[in-house]
Amino acid sequence: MSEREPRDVARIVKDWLKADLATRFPTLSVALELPANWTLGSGPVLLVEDDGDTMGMWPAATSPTIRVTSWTSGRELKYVHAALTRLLTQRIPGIAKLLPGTGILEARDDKTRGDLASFTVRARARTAVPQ
Amino acid sequence: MTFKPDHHGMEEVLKSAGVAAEIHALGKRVGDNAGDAVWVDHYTTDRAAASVTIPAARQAKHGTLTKAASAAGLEVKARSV
Repeated sequence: MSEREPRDVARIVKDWLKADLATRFPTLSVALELPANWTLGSGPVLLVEDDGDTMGMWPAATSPTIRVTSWTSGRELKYVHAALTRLLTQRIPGIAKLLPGTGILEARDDKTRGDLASFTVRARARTAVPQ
Repeated sequence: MTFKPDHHGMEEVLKSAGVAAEIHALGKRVGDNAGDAVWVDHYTTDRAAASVTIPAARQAKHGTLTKAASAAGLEVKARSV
């Protein structure tokens, strides 16, 4: 009997956003980790990270909170505005549903002085038999 | 068969000391999970409530509050009005 396993929702979201936003924002990098050499003046990065799961739907599904954060040199909200809108209005293969989480939060990173803009969505993804 | 909600009974439960204690315990659990530089506030509207506050950069950079809530079995979302 095959066991059903969680899907890597953050990676699915990252791959989907990378393809979806590529034409509109050709200089934007979409990644799961911030490049170690990112500094003020580097190109914009959109990070997709998994903030954990209450496991309230296990074993049928997982319900991770996905955080999307832009790192920019100077205040710039267009990347998170586009990502938030696309994620909450489009169907992403492999994810049953994305629900609103937190609104956009702005901050500044003390270390790099980069501007951050972040939001979360609440995902629902059925577990699947690994391929 | 019809279902008739007992609003007075529900109100009584929501305002009970037991529910207030659970709300306070949840707030403390999320705060403890979030680590240092966290402010947990317990207050009362028409019922018990709790809030957990962290610096914005810690949430944007590390997801500190959302991770702390997930670990306590809670999801963070914008308050509905």
